[in-house]
Amino acid sequence: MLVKKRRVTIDFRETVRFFADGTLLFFAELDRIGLLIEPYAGKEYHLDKVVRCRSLPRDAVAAQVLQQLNLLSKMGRRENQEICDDTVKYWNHASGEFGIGSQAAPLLEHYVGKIPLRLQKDLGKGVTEAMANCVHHAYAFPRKGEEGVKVRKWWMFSEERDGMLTVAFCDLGVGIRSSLRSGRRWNLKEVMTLLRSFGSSEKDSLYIRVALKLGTSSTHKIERGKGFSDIMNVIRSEQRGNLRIYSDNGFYEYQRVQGDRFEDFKTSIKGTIITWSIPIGSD
Amino acid sequence: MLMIATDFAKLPVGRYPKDGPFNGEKFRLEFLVPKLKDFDRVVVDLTGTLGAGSSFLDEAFGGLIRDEGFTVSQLEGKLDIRSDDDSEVVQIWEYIRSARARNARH
Repeated sequence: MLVKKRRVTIDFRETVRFFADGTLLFFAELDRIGLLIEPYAGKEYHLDKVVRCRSLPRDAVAAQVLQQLNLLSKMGRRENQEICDDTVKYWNHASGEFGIGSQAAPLLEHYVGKIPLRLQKDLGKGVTEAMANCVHHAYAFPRKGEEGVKVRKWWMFSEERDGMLTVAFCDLGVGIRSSLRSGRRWNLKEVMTLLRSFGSSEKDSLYIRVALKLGTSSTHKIERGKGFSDIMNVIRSEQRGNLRIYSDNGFYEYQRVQGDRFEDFKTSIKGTIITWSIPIGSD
Repeated sequence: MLMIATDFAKLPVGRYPKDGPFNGEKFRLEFLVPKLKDFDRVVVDLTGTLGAGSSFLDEAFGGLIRDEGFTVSQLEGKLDIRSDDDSEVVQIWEYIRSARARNARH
């Protein structure tokens, strides 16, 4: 839309539910567009020059989510939805540009005392490693075709719904495949050897698999590669819930019982999302 | 005594300054090493942190062996690591004991 310089109109009438990972990507893209059209630090941007909301969701809860995320006013809507639904009240978001933990801390502090200490600490570890990875690798070089884009942010969401806590972390960087193939993150020879052992293809899901293998390997150099262990441990030590990683076209899901699942989608998300979903109700 | 949550950061991030302003190298150089040089016994308490990732912990504590010339037995005598989560204490000692001094690796 920015390239063609045409305003996009979004109709939310039939939207009945916002899922954390997809909504986070939507939120991140809108935020990036806003920062690109008005790239002045601290200035409030208005998306309605390029993105307009034509109709609110008929579903009251879905409409409240847009309000809670402060997206309605940014897209030119003047309505002020009263946020009365419990599930919407528990949507939280955070974002930042560097590895500054204090920008994510308020979101995580929200769960202090509400979830077991071990889970709270594991989540913090997973989030900080995702953040360090984002700062270090995701924006190490621009995506192809986005050479002029200077926005290097990360975004986070959390949601409590039906006894599940979902925390999602997103960047709009180069994706795991490009990062691995650049040779900056890992030794390219090691990457290609592992890739061949997994079936040699250019699928993004295979590169996620390579990154997980390299990033959790105990044989790897001691100073590197622990980040993915922390990201996995949120689910491994809880022994329940699931971890989902989307990177460009690739998808990976880990569940304690079902194990690993890899898939590739037709459309790229043009970035990376890591999502943890953990039951927090008594069972 | 060093309380990481209040003296440094509630959510420290990463290994090096390029990872974030509250990184493991900074904690080691500006907080840990001066205390270890000045005192016979140093208490480091992680209580109240929201989680400290492996990169931070390994760089801060494993780096004492790799980059600062301390030995494991010296640190066992000087460092008293505490946390509201015992697994963090175990993890830090694993990083210390598995680290190798840089000059010993070549």
